[in-house]
Amino acid sequence: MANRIRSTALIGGVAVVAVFLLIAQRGQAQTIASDRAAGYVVFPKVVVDSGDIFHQGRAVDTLIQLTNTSPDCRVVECFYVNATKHCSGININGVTNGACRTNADCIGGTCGLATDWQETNFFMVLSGNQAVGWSANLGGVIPPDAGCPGEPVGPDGSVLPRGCGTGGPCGAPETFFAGEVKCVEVDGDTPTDSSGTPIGANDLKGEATIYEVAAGIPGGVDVRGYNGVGIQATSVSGLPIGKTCTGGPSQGATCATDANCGIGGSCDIAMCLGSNPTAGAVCGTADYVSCPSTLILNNFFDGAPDFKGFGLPITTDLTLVPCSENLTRTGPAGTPNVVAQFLVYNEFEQRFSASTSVRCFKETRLTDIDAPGNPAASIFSIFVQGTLTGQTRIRPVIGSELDVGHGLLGVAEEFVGVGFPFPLRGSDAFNLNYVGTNPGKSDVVVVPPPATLQ
Amino acid sequence: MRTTHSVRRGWVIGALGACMLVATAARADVTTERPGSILIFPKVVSDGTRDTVIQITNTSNTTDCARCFYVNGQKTPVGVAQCSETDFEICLTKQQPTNWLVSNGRQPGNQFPGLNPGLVPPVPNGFTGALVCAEVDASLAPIAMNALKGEATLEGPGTDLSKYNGIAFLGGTASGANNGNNDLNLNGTEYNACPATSRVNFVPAGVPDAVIGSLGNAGLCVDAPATPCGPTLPCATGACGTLTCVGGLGGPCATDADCVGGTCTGPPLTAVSTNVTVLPCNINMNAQLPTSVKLNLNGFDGAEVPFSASSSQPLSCWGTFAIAPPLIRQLGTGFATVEISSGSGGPVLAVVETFHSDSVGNTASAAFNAHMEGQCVGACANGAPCLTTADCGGATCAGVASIGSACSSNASCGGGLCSGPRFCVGGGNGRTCTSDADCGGGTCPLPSAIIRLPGA
Repeated sequence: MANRIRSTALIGGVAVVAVFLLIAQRGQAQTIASDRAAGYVVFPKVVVDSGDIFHQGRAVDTLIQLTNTSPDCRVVECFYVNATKHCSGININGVTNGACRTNADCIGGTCGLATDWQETNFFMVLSGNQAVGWSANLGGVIPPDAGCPGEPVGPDGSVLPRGCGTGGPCGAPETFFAGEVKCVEVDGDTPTDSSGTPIGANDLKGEATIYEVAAGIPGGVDVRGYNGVGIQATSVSGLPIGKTCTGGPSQGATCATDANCGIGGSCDIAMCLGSNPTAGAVCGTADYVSCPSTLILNNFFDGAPDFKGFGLPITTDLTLVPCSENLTRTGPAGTPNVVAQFLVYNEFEQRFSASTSVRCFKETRLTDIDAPGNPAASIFSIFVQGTLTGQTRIRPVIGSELDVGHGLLGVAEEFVGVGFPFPLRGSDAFNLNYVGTNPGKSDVVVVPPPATLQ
Repeated sequence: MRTTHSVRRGWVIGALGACMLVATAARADVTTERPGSILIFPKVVSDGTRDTVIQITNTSNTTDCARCFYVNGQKTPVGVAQCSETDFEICLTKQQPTNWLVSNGRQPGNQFPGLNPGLVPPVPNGFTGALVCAEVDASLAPIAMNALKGEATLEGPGTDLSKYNGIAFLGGTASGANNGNNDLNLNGTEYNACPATSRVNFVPAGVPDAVIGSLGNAGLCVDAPATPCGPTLPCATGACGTLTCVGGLGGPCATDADCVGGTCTGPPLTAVSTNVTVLPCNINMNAQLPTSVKLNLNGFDGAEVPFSASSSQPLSCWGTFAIAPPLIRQLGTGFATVEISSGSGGPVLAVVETFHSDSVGNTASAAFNAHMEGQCVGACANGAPCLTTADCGGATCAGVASIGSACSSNASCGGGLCSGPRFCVGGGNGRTCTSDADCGGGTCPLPSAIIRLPGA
């Protein structure tokens, strides 16, 4: 008996080694990275305010660049995830259900509708190694190259550029826009024959450059850029991922139609970021790598003086977006509520903590995380910390749900100076560091089926 | 009791083995968003107009010390990079962040609040170069804790800022992976291998800035050349010229008719330029010998038309250049992509900075980390890189069929590893290779690049 137990234990030990070896081999393979090509690329912050509707003295736009690093044609589906808030009544510009930032932008109503947060999609066709770019305000055009099937052709037979609706990039759905852009490699050869199903491939790289510009004299230009966050597919087979039951008694099972999923279930295109071995989980196997368990931000504490001696304060804005999103839904129902725990270390090795909730899209100045309206009392304030810089570790709190995860992605922006004019202000943006994953947890991105695609 | 011990021992063996393997497995690729053991900032500037703030953080729960080196790429009067180094040590307590402005360094006299990480010397005025930091133990021998992360913020002119993440090399934590000597081998075993290529997306030179052109000062009024104009700011009279005349009277123009005797074909009044800074992965800081690296650029414009170029002069220890004519030809589309690799002399690292300007001279910059791509090698069962079974002690070297192909992850390598580029040894003048046949009598060994530290 003792020998048997011993053997079992040794086998168990060997099994652990084997499992970890497998994890090790697989874990090396793919990653979430903003410095590697990937099949699914997220730009966590894309903003447009071409009309300066809140009279800030500048217009805002985001230039997005995306390259297909493979030698083959790729169909790419992109989504504007619109997190712009809207007034329940009219906004200060007299527009019914017009855009707003806070309640102060609304007259006789509140800022925020139940339908805020929704996606608008478009398809692009990128030929091998093709680099494209577009303004989120205006959209863009992809030059003709006759390299891929289904190129638009003019009356004289010449190949035409691809614009919005013909395989080129579209602009944001509103002229005041705040939200994400996410692009994924999908099946098919053309926008019309694609079913919008993601494929196993890692070919996309991208960057976003946020502009704030003012026309006139003195005018001004301020830009900041970051790399799109790439989420690599676990396979580069080029094959589409399967459809999966979400909800209902067969949740997690592969399916062809809703009927396969039983009462209350639907057969969805669900991208699995990581895998969850629990019975009934949507994601039994991973299509893409897991979202990180911790995000690390090196930040100046808000109010720290600039190094160049202008006497201007440095502030940091953090944008966080959930990894799990149901793009077939609108409003808060589209994403889980994620509690983000912040551990902050200053240069004295002292530790502080704070937390906030993230749903749909959260852009916040650091001091607004724990002390909105009272920055001097925040743990992100230099007046509290006493040192210039800190390390902020952001840990999304995991849950036990089987149909969503609680991963977060983010990007940071730093500003020197407050407001305008431009000569007294500068900014930069940068990607966060990622550490670890949550084993056995997965995030789920449900993509709209072709019938609902616009 | 014995049984319990055996059970425990079995699981402990398993757990230890697992930990070792995980430690080995933590050897992902070179990264700009994970902590590592070697942290490199390829672009550090302090020239009176621009300055650089360095932020470094220890992300571990134990004290982490590092030897840091400024690599001076400032050119001598005869146009050759100095390639000298200045070193110092920092020690960060658990989770401690620190920072300094490179023109000031960090000394007791100008002490910032916070635990003192050690004396950081200032760089000389006019410094352009790089900063390399490597984790060390108390005896200053290199170790792999994989706990350092950092950022560099390029400040100026004025309040302009651009920021990029330090490039981290993870060190092997398995027993024997790091020999502790002053040769930091970027071979995929002791530390991550250097990337084979760095890919940069860019707006070609001569293309107007699309966003400034639509929302800002896109041009100057033809009738009043000192007056800015654009789609949101029409001229009182006449057209808004967004280009410049070639010949004739010069000045802004919208059509040839605005250029009496000339043509409206000059540069646009808004501009984007893209600057790439490269640092060789082979750095001999002990002998302060320059590394001769020949760069190759291979890219495609937005219409998938290829272009290529190579550096006319070998890069020594640091270099920076604009992706623009005459280095590359004039491109005809609004966007393009280019892969930068080394043709000989070992691999390089790169960071990117873009500079944007409007028609009245307002400027701003943004920095980006380049995407890094690898080259497949095989993998032994223990995860070590290999080319043949001989590298695995006679055991299987998986992924042999994919060796030499480009990759962005191991998934592209058919069971092998996505590692760094290979260069000829003993023939072929150190040029890049994918097999011995490329090396004219020499061999094409596994990836390797050496950062040679001076003796401690």
